[in-house]
Parts: sequence; structure tokens; C-alpha cells
Amino acid sequence: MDVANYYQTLADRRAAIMAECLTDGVTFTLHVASHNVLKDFALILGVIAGPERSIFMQACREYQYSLEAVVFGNYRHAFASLRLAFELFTASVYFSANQMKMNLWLQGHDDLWWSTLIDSNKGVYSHNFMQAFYPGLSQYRAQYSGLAATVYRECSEYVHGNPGTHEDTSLTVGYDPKRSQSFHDKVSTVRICVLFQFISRYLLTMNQANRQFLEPLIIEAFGDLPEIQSIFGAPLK
Amino acid sequence: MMDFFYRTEDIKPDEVAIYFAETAQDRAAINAIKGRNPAIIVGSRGVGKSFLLRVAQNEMLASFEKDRVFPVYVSFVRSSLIKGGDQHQFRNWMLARLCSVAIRALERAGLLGGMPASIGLLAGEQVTAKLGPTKIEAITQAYENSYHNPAEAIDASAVPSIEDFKDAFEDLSDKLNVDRFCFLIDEAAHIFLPEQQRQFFTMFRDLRSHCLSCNAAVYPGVTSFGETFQPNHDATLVHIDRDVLDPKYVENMREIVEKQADSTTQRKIVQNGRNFAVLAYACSGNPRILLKTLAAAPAVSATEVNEVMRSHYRTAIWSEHSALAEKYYGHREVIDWGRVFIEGTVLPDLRIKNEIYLASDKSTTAYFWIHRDAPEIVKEALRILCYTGVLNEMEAGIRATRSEVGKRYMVNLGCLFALDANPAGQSFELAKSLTPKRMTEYGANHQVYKGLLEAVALKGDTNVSGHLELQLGKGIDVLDLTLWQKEKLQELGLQSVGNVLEATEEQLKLAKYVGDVRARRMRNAAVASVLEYLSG
Repeated sequence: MDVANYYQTLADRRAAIMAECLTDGVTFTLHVASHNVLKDFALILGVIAGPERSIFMQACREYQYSLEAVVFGNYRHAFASLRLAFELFTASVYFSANQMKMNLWLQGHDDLWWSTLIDSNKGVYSHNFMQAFYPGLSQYRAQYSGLAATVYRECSEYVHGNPGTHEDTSLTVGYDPKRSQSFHDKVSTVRICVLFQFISRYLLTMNQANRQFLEPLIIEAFGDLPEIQSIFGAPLK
Repeated sequence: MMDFFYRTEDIKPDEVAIYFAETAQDRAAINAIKGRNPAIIVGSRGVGKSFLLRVAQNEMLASFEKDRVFPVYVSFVRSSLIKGGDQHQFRNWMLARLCSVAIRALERAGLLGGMPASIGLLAGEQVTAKLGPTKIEAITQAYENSYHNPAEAIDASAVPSIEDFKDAFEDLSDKLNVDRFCFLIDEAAHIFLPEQQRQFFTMFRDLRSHCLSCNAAVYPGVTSFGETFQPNHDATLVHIDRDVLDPKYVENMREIVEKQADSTTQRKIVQNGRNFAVLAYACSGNPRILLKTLAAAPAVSATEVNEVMRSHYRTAIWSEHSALAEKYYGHREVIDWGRVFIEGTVLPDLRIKNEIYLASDKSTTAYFWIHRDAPEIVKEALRILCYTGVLNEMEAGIRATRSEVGKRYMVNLGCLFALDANPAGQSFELAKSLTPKRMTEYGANHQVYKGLLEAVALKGDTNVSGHLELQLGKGIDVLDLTLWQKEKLQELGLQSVGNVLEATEEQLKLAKYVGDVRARRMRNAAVASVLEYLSG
């Protein structure tokens, strides 16, 4: 078998995995739901302006890579891309409040560190950040910070190749519904963390038209919070 | 489904800090444990006594180079197995166990390399490089195995007297440059064995010296302090029940869960904050119950929460309470009356009152008050209810109507919530509006006591012949183990409590998917569970 044939075989195998994934009704429904998260991100993009917008777009692209990887059975890459996408989503919110750091990063003079993005004093879940942009949501920040840290660590296990991430797929490349479902579960968590970062940063300052534009999305995700209900005109109890 | 750690014994001692969600109350308790004055940590099962002792131990070890205070963690959980005719056997066993654990701790810390002469006394002989148990360890084991053959006499001549013990530690502190040895005694006194309680507290009092301090964790029902020990004078009593009225209560309980939960569970909690708060309030400050109920309601949905309220707080908690009546025949009437009192009188009364309060936007109640002159047997029933977690003992010496003095109790909130058809929907408001100022009062001669006073016939200590054998013969379903662990034990044919207690790690490794690490963890978990079951 020449090299070209070898890669053709691999591509055929991937195609077979994708076909298997598409016919697995339960898991593919989850995939469609994860795919539709792109619509939520598109709504957010409609509101974000400035240089951070391009970072958010990069994050969306990386997120699509992760969806593509999971459908082809490249699980490690799927989790790695999801982690990078989450980092970039978070960075876009962080940089929107730290323009100097953003410029240095865009110029290649500074690196992106997850620990900086969620730093308890200066990160997107810090008391100061919430105080500056949405003090009312401050009481939830510790919970979301913990959630973001946990899902990031779980995705990192694939990036660092922790032993558990090799199981089942170490010798043969194959479709693994459990791993796919785990991926989509992480997507749900990343989505809610990204949405929380977004509303913390932008909801109070956005104009009425944008609020109306985003209302269904925000109410669906956070409609149980009294602070959000009051923003959208719920009658006072 | 998440597999939570329910018990401190399942967590590696040096990893305890990872799971620690600290509160100001926890810090105060840890500081009391680390301090020079003896402290007694009081709390019902699963509130985190062992956990705090382990955290204190880790912190003392971490600062040992600076402070020169050496912690020695000892569990007395095996005390329920001590059986025989010798009246000093429990005291001997305690001293032998303190000695053997101290030697092991010093060896593991690398402090006992050279042999100070004094160590020979503690070990019952000169410590040599030979393998196998020292003489003192052999005596401890012999006592712990005494349930096999209670008639057999045990040679305890190598066990030091209290004075020798103190002298030996004084010598050790000089030779090893240790400022103070701090004993952390877990599961210190068996709740249903007053004689063991008396002997323990007498030893606890006698062991005080400038280079020794003792701290202990006990259940709320422990009240037989012996002749020399004076609570509040000889030790600081630290109650570690979490206060459900604390504004940060739910947040703290959530933090405890987050230390162990994966992102899926955390997300469910974030999305169903109110349902989680109902679970947190229902456990009334007991992290073990919270983790168990959360494991039974992984989606944290209203349907699951309602189901947990029914299954745990209407059924399981009471089954556990009533099971005590089977284990401790002598206390049967008291245990049964306690249940009838709470289920038949206190809870319905609180429910009716709360319905009225909530309808008129007033503060709600989960509290009742008992006059200090109420019959002792009634107080005993309430102590047992505190031990099983149905009640939380609150402040003593509270004035009620006509300036009468008594003690306030809080009913487990889960039991109160479980009376509703839809606890997930209704209980949050009830919990948020609680005030201790509203309490139902039961006077010194309330008519509800009458049934107990007529029925009761206390028989004293109940660890009588035949009792222990009966417990050891029971099936493993009674043990507090995960389903997987129970399946593995059954796969190995370990059907009874006694079988599990005698199983070796090698035996456990014969089960599928059980290697060295899992066998050790399973055995530790199984033995801890067996012993806590035997302890009640």
C-alpha cells in the first residue's frame, strides 16, 4: 500500500465512522443540539463590536472544528478544540475589559493563560469584573467560576492524554457513542459558561433593541434568576 | 452518575485538603483542635468530624518544622468489638492502641529512626528492625479479636500505666525535639455503652500533660463523662452542626459538593439552583446526607427532588432510626417512642403552624423546646434522635413561656419538607423564612411523655452476650457501602457483616476489576462501615 492509499483508507474509515454517527439517533440528536449552539453564538456576535469580535469569531471557528472532529471520531482533537474554543470565548470577554492586554496579545507580545482569564481577582468571574459590569450577578460568580474550571480541567484530560482518555480508542479508531455523548455534555456546560460571561459583561450596557433581540436566548438560559427577570420587565413580587 | 466520597475514610489522608470547603465555623473547630487545650468535637453522623480531624492533622504536619507539634490520628471505631470479662480491658485497649498508633506515626514521619530508650516502654519491648507487629500491637489486635472468643484471657502486662505513658512521651518529646504530641481520637466513645464512655473520658482527663494534648470526636448522645472529667472545664466542647440560618449556608453546602462533582452535576446544580437549595436545607447541615441525596437526584429536577424527599426523609432516615431498636434491645421503647413523638406529635404540629405562617407571610418554624425538668428518659430519646440526625440539638438554658428554662431542638428539615406533596415547589420559602424564635413548647409533664414513662424498662448497657454475634450474622445490605462495592462483596460470597470484617485484601482482589488499590479502598470502606454499623 503506498502512502496515498494509506491515507485514502484512513479517510474511508473516518467516513464510515461519520456514517455510523449519523445513524445513531440518540447521539446524533445531541450533535444537532450542539451544532445549533452556533446560532446562539451568532446572536452574541450580533451584539459584540470592537476587536474582541474577531476573537469571538475565532472561537466559533474552533468550536466548529471540535464538532467536525467529534463526528469523525477524532475524540481527543474534539475535546482539545472545544477547550481552545472555550479559552477564546473567555478571552474575548476578558479582553473587552483589558484593551492593553488584548493589543499585546494580538501583536504577539503576550500569551493567553487560562489562569489569567479566570483569575479570582482580575478574571471574568472576579468580584471586580462583576462589580464593574453587572453587580447584581455577583452572587453567582463563584458557582460559574467553579463550573468553568471543572469543565476546562475535564477537557484538559484529553489534551494532556490522561490514561482514562486512551481507553477504547488506543488501538483501533472507531465510533464511541459514550465519548460522543460526553463531548456534547461538555458543550452544554461550555455554552452556559460562555452565556453567563456574555450577559455579565454586556447585558446592562446594551441598548434596548439588542436586549429584545437576545431576550429569548437569555430567558431560556437564565430566566430563573430574579435579576434577569427584572431586566426583562417581570412584575415585582 | 457521580460516585461521591461519603466517608472521610475513603479519602487518602493527604488529599483531604482538596475536598475541604472551609467555613468560619470549621476554622474555629480546627484551631480548637490544634490548640493546647483539649477539644471535643461533637456532631452527629456524617457532619464531618473525622474530616476536620484529618484537616487539622495535615495542617499540623505541614507546620511541624516550625511549631514542633506532632499530630497522631487514632480511630477508636473498633471499640465496639472489645469483649471479655476483664474490667480493665477497654482502658488497656485504648492505651495499647494509642501507643501502637503513635509509634507507627512517628516511624512514618521519619522521627523514629534511632531508638530512644523510652520507646521500648511504649512498645512493650525494645523496638527492633524485625518485621511483624510489636508486642503492644499484638495486644491491641488480641483485644480487637476478642469478639471471636470472649472467654480467652489476654496478657496485657506490656500495656503501660497512664503515668508510664505520660513519662514515656515526656522523654520522647525531649529526645525527638517535639514540643507537644497532639492525639486526635476519632469515634471516641460508643454511644450505647456508657461504661466505655466513662472509661474514655477518665483516661482523656488523666492523659493531660505539658507535652501531650488530647482531642476527640464524639456523637451528640455521649453524656457519661465519668467521675473526674468535667465537660467545659477539662475540654472545650465544639459543636460542628452547620447553621441553616447562616446566609451563606447553601453556598457553603454547594461548595462541598463542587469539590467532588464533575461538570455535568455542577451544571445541573447551576440550572436548578432552587431545587439544590431544597436538598441542601433538607440535609440540615449534614454533608454526607446531601451527597447521598444528590447522588439519588443527579438531574436535580423537581421530580427527582420530590422522590428523594419521599424515599430518604420519609422512609430511609426512619428505617435507620428504628433499626437501632433492633440492635440495642434495652433501648427499644425509648427509640420507638422517639419516632412516635416526632412523627405523630412534633411534625404534624409544625406543619399546621407553618401553613398558617406562610399564608400570612410570617416567619416559619422547625423548632421545639423541652423543659429542663422533663423526664430523663425523654431526654434520652431526644439524644438518640440527635444521634441519628432526626433532630439537631440547639441551645440549652433557653427561656420560654413564663420564664421556664429548657433546651431548643431543630427537627431535620428534610423530615419537615417531606410532609408536603411537592417539597421542591414549597419548601424553599419555608426554609428561607425560618426563625428560631418560633418554637413549640413541651413542658416538664407534658401528656405526650406518658406513653414512654409507662412502657420504659431500661436495661443499662446492652452489649451483652449474644448481641454482637447477632449483629455480625446480619446481611451486608445493612452496611453503608455503594451498590458496586456491595455487588463485589456478594460476588465473593461475603454475605454477612462478620464475613466482611474477616475478609482480607487478597480475598477482595479475587473479584473482577479489583486490584491492589481498589482492594485497599474497598476493605477500608467496608471495615469502617461495618464498625460504624456496629457502633450504631
